[in-house]
Amino acid sequence: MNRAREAVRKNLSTPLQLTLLVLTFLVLCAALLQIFSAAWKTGQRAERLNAATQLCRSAAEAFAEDGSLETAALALGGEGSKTTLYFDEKLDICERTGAVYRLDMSRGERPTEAGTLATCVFSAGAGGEELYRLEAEVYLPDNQESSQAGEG
Amino acid sequence: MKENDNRKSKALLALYAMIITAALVLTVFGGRVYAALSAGREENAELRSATSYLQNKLAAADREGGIIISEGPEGALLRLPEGDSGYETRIYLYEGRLLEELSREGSELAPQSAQAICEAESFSFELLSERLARLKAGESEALVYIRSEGGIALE
Repeated sequence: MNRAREAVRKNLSTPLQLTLLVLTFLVLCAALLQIFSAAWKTGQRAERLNAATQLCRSAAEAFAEDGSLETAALALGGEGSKTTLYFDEKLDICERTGAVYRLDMSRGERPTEAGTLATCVFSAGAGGEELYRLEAEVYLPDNQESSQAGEG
Repeated sequence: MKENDNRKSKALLALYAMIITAALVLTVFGGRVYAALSAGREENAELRSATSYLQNKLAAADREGGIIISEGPEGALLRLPEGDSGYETRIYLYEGRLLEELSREGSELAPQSAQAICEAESFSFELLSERLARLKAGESEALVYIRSEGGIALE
């Protein structure tokens, strides 16, 4: 009886140990993969947020010159008539297909006593998600405002 | 029988060793791949941080005669006079690094005593209009608008 038990134990112990070892190995691999994947995603998100911020800020700087979306679009390398621009991974202007970042610009105006306050909302995003939004205002005196009529 | 048991134990030991080695190799390999992929990203992030820093620096120098553009050793040289102190901040590229130096106005460039902002292959400051400029460090670029009349001067 004892010999039979001993025989069974010997026959089962090796495959059992092997199975446990392989399972442990697989669990460790899965854990490592999760850690690397999460770190990678966080890094990528931070980089995209930085890029979105830079896009919005640059666009706002160009808009500040004359309150015109055309100036902003041209300064960023796009066509003056466009209010949505697409950029690749290196923040170079590109077509919609293959673009990583998207910058939307929408302009508005608010009359003031001695001129017009041109406002613009810059919204930058990637992967269909808005990452950063910046609102800019530029005061246009009466004589300058008349030359901006119809823009935006 | 004994010989058979011995062979079995050796085979098992070899298998254990193989699996442990595979686990170690996977961990090291995974770590190196991640580090390599991150390195490129970090380089870009450093450049973007640098251009953002320069945007802020130029915004702080937004006043008449606040920014003077001239030719540096490897690209543009930006001089930001510190008011009437007689000192100026200089930003230029030298030996693959973007440097910031605080020196007396009119003195020679002293890259050995300058502070490195980041590593970059090129540096340029292009005027798009009287007050709007494109700042480019390596592959990272940013636009800067100087609100003050006569804020940017060419030397």
